[in-house]
Amino acid sequence: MNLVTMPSLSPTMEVGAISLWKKKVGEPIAAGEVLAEIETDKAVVEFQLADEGFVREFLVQPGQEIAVGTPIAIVTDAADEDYSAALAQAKAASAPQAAAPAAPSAAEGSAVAAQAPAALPAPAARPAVAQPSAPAAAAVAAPATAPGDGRVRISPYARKLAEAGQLDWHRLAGSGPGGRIVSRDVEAALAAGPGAAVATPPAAAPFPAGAAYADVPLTLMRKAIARKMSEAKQTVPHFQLTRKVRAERLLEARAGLKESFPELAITLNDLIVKGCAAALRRHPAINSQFLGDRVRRFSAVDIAVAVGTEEGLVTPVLRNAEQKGLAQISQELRALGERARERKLAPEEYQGGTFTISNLGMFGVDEFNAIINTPQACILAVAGIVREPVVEGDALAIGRTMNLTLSSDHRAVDGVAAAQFMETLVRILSNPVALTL
Amino acid sequence: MTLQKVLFREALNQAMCEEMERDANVFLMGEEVGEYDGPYKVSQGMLARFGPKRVVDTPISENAFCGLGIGAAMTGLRPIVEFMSLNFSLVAFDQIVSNAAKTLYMSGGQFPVPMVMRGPGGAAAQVAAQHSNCVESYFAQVPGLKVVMPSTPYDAKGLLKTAIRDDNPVIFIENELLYGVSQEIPAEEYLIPLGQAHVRVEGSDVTLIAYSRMAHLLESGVLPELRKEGIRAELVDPRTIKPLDLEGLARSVRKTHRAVIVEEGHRFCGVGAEIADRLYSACFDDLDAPLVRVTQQENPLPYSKPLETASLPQVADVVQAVKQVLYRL
Repeated sequence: MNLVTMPSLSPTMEVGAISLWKKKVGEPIAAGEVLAEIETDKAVVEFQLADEGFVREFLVQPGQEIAVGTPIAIVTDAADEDYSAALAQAKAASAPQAAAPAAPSAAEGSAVAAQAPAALPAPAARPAVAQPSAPAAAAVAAPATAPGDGRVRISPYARKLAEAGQLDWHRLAGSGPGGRIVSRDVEAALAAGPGAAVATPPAAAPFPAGAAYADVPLTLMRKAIARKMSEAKQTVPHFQLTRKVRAERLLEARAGLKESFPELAITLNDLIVKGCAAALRRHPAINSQFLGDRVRRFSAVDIAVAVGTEEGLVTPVLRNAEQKGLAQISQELRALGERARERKLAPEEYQGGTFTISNLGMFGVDEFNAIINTPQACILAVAGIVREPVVEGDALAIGRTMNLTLSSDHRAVDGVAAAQFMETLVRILSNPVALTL
Repeated sequence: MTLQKVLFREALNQAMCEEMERDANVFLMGEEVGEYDGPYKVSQGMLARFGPKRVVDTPISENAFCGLGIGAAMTGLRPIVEFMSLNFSLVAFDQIVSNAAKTLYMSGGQFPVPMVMRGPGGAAAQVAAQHSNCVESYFAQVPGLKVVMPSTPYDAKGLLKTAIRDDNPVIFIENELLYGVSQEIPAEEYLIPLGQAHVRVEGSDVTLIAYSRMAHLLESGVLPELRKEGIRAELVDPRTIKPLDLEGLARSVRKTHRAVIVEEGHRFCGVGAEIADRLYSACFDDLDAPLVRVTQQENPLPYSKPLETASLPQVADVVQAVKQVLYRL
């Protein structure tokens, strides 16, 4: 008898959601086999069961946010073992631990509450319109149906459409009130073709013609980003330093490497990461974390690289960058980026990090400030390389330049230290032969 | 087919006259229906045409003359009892509910009560709380009664003729504000069966269900607004509240996958609640949004014009409800 609970798959994970059950009820499962794919705040992770047995019952629905430790499934040793006691235990355990604090009565009444106009804009609207009973009751009931209780809501007609089109609607984003999937969402997914049928929520969310807005429910990842960014921006005293780098030699270096070693496909970003690693090795004050009562300086340079994915921002970490050559850096960054976009990163691949680089150069950004990836002390914002007038001696020339902006946590790093690091970085990047030092 | 342009009140007049010509057992009774030609001139000229035995002026005594009508119906006549206002039918509520509706049943089928009780119902122009009752839901609750609510002269004539020929008591509710509405209708005789909804305007995006004056509000006020926004609404008028043409309504909802139900009366236990309940069962798998009802506010209807307006369904309320079921809010 085994009451399987929601595992903690990352140090910051408080809730998770089943993306997909990999087993069916009644099926045997071997030790080490994957029971489910679980969406955490960072990634979708395969959850392997340590013991063998028979899958008897799933206690939660895919997509539902479940607190870590809450029972999610029952696995028994024998195929026909009585598990009613475990079921009762599970129900008792999950009641107070449900991720969404919806009152049971509210959940029971959600079919009725769904009629409540959660999206009715203002109390000034005449209450005779649209409210099923007393306005006060409706107002109380409506929030209980808000996204977050994990149920996937779909209108009966939309479900019928989806089933007729053999579309798995569980991961569609609903554009109706409370994230309800309605016919237009299914029609859009069907029109987009089979690949898009299980598209991720933001991508699948169509913007209905004439609609003033569409509400996109927060994914676990979006929630994690929202929480972390708000905290960093509100609690960390940021200051920024910007340096302009002459990028001619950097471009030459990349061109030269491409000429000699085309198979390595070294990018500008690889060179910048390598340059940062070299500069950080000489400025341990920047390669640090602020831990409340102390600043921790790191001997190893673990560079987190911001990767934009459809679901949101992730920061896989390149370990020991200071010890790695360009070829290895390039190869590892590519692999990390691909896994990040597929949401296949293992926790150890995105945890930690002593410094972060956010590069928006490829999007034509001239200059920007990045929010610090706490508890790290500094983050570098890399802008694009542009042609612009530069002063050389007493003459004007056309140069290739790139703006780098370092955001620092002033609790850990002072302006002089940040400026000195930037000076080193500019020297390296403006003359990349320094990378051989 | 020859067409004639008639007012709503004239269509009712024609229906009664034709049926009185056709069947000597039919007669009209009520306050001011004879000498005064009817409080709303619905019975204009009928006293002169049919004489005082068949067009009977009564005292102000609804309970009495309604009971009289029931007795007459039990003994073989086919009375049309006119209430100056359906609000006054409440004085005769016991006769209607206890006797008209139940005598056939309680007499073991011996005494049918073939009578029509008709008159204007609902709000008019500032007639205040006691004279603005929407009584259709009261009567529709009673087994044994039929309830008819036409919205056009064409429907009024065809339905009233059918109601007069029906062997059951029929509550036939007109609307004061519609008496002056005109329409071209056939000069030849026609009847409209009870329990048959009518698609007044075809559309594909949303079904609007409304009867009596609300059907007019929707057609003249709401549909043009919706068209401006590219919304093609289908307007369906049930015409008969009881028996209700569920299939006629459901056919439209299965096509549009959403509906707004508008009624002039109050929300609680209103006619729209019954329609919604039946549509949920009949169309569950075809609904893309919860049904939305637009009704009168939960208060006695005020005399004050602004408050009366604020209490009754208006164009903007229905437009908002339509956007809600279309998820365009």
